[in-house]
Amino acid sequence: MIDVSHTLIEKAVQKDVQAFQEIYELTGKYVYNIVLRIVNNAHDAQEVTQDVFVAIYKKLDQFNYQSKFTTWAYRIAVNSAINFAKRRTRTTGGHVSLSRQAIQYADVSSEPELTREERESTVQRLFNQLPEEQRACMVLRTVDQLSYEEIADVLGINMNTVRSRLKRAREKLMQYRKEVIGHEV
Amino acid sequence: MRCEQIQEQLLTEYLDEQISAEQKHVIDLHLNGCRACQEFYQAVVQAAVNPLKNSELYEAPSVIWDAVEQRIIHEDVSVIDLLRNWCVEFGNRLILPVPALGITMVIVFSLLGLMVFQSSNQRMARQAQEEPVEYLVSMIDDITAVDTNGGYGTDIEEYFL
Repeated sequence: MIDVSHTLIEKAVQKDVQAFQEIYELTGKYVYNIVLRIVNNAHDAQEVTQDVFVAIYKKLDQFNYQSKFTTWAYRIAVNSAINFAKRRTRTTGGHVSLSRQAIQYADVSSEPELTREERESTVQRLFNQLPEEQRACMVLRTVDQLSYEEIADVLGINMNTVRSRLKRAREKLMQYRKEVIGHEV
Repeated sequence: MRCEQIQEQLLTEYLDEQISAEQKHVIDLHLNGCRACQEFYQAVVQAAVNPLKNSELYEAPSVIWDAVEQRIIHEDVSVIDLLRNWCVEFGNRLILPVPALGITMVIVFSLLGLMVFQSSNQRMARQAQEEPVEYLVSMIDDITAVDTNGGYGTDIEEYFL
């Protein structure tokens, strides 16, 4: 997990926009990718990421250094993304505009044969199989390689819950693969 | 350890390397001798690891920062936020808790308002007392005014008389 210095945070608290831009440059890419994988749509991810950073800017004076800055920022990002995804599920019935490409599974040895679009399509479809809370755990584990403890801190849950959500998410993906392979045969 | 317990670990701590070296060794030993668990682990990797392993980490589009910057620079600070921030800062200097400061300010403004109201009332009361007096004075002036026409009233009456 990347770290943001105390000095930079203090400057940004004083509404120093340049300092806040430095914070954005350190964390923006990771926040964007976490949001992208949870909302599973690039256009929505841009909108949500914007809202996340404006919220971070407004709430900076509430950051009390009891956790890492990135833990606190990721918490805001994950909560915003989950809320957005749930609202969208309520209004659209869960429809997400995904690539038309079919899902592609590849063995490790043949991975290089998949195109970028195929890989992206597969990732999108797999994450779309998971409910938002399981998806958030999988995203934090795969995108940012967070430990169980760090994931627990970000999501405000205990480690057993992290473990349980990852287990159920992977079982779901295994079941989905069986169904996909079964239809292809 | 039973296969069920091993497979649960294969789905979680073993896969995520959140496991001690000792525990990993125990599971590796089991995997070496158990075909079912080997196949299970392969299925986990194929379904939940390989497809996501090289998922691309995208750069955040530049439009995001542009939009964020515009919003934070042009953020409208509401009067309530200004007042709240002023109260918090003032309270911090006086070492007063914000609610106490808020109550104090309400009392101060109320007293000021009362003073203004009372002085306005007094002015109106004085005016009310003085107006009838002025009216009576003007009536008396009319009645006792000196008749420069020799008691004959108007100029026309004087002409005919």
